[in-house]
Amino acid sequence: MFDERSPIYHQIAEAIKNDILSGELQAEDQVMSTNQYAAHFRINPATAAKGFQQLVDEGVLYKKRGIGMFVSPGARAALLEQRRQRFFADVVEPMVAEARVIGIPLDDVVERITAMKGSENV
Amino acid sequence: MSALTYRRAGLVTRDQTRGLSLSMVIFIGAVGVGFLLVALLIVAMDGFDGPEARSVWENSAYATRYYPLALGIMLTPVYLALGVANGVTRRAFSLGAMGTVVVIAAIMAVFEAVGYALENGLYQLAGLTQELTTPHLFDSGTQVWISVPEVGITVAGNVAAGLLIGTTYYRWGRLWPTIALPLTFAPALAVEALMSVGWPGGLMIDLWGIERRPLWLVIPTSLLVIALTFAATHVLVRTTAVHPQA
Amino acid sequence: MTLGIDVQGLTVRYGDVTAIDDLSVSLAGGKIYGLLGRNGSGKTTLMSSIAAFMRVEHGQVLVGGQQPYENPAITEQVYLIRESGDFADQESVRGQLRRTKRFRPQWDGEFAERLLELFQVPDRRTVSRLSRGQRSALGITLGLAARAPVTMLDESYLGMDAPTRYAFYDILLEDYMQHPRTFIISTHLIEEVSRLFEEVVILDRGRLIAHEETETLRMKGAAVTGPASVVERFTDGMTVLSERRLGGTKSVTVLGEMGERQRDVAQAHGLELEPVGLQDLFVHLTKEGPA
Repeated sequence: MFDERSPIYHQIAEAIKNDILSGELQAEDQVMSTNQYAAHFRINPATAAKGFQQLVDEGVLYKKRGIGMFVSPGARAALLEQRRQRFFADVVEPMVAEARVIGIPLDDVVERITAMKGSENV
Repeated sequence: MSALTYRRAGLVTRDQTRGLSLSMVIFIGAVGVGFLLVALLIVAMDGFDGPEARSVWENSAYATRYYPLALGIMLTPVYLALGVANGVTRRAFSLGAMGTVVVIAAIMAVFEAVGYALENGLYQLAGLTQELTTPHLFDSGTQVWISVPEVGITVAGNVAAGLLIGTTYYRWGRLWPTIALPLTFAPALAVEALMSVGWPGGLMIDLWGIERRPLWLVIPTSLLVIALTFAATHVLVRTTAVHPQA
Repeated sequence: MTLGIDVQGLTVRYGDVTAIDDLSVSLAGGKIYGLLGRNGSGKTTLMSSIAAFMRVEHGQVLVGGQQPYENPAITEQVYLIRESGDFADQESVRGQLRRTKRFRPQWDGEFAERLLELFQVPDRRTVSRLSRGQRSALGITLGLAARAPVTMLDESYLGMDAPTRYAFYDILLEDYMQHPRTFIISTHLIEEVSRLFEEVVILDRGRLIAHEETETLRMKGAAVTGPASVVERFTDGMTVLSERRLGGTKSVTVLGEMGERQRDVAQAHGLELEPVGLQDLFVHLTKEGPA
């Protein structure tokens, strides 16, 4: 589940964000408690708590005292917006850079994308 | 010393006596049965000649002295690490081990005294008189009020010396404690010599003609020797480190 | 109740061997600590000092603000499970439970029974006839069921096979969350358990090498790979833990977190930045060499 590339609490936060983006977690859904999460993934509860706290700080989750943590109503929309903004920096720009290094003309790339767009059943 | 220390010392005594209980029961059973067999054998072989018969039970005194001595030697090497690992302070351990010494001595005292009284009764039934050949504080096996403290103090002297000996071995290894044995075993001999009982008492009387001093002097002095032995053990135990595991 | 531990300037010598060398470390109560170090690095000696197995002669060790040695209020609360366990070998497993119950005020008998069953330790068997794994399991059973506010496990589960170890990790976490207390766990199996640790303490030759949150430490190492001259320029001024060279390519392991800027620089120069696992980082940090 976890790798060594980033702190576990970071990876926990990412995993929950992905669940929200994919719709597995809906707005107002209760998320696993820190302890359940720690036990399930065999990690220190303080580390798990740090991941959840990060999400609370970002407004993705909110706490109900004594009950638990829930997905914020606007979480999915906010996350989608974030990802969209990052998309060009994280995906498109490296792709263009790679294409340049290995000598694929950008026109070929655009052509391919256009072809893929054509096969989309929208 | 705090109440907590005394409470935990009590737990140490209970833990140790419980740990030693099985081997004590086996020992008492073996000595009891053994001496009954020896007595029957003597009767079957040639019986006793004359109305005076030597006490067979008297020989058990060696067993009931030196087996507890061995238990005493074991206490620190076996139980100190167990105690400390379970959160017992050395002070509580030492006090608790002293309690164990007293319990062992009391058990042996009752066992021996019952043996003397039983033998006396059996001999009487057979029309014989129980004859004691080593010196004792009591004259007849029926005087349990004397035989119990006599054996109790004697055994306590031996177990206390054993506890001291075991502690020196645990602390310093083999060489020096072996060289110091005459010193560390001395309290056991001293108690018996002071009370003029057993073979050290016999030596005092036969060899050097030293007669027994009055009991009001002898018993407190013997107890003092035991107390000093405890004190020496206590000082050592308080500063003894638990051995690292290999 | 949780108890913190404060070690100041601790030095322990055995004859002319220095096991602990002027060590100072402060551990807040209620966390799970991983105590890492090679053989002979002083882990056991440190824990023995905390558990009052030995007297502290140079420096100071405080548990809950008090000296543990000959202090019944503290020793009652501190439990060190040593590698081979402290058992009466001629007694039964049950006898060991009885003893620990006697001396540990927070003892939970039902939990102990559950652990024995989980680890499949035959409770009537004489301790000397237990297998190595069963001995380890017995030590852990006593250690967990005693619920001591400071519980230290010194390589206690080395004899256990992998499935049993994982069962132990699960039950340790579960019980820690229900009954928060201070755990210090020394181990060689870093990869396997490091995620249980909130903080990690690394000793080497009796000295403190690192004391950090596990996740922070995990991010501290990086392997930089690329053309030798570029790698050298990039890592100039960094703490280099190890270097390897293959033809014109060089790989250097450095200590220190890589910031956003450094990542950009590395990327711009065609350098590959890779995280170093905690195990590798530990190996690099405690490598033999001139002190």
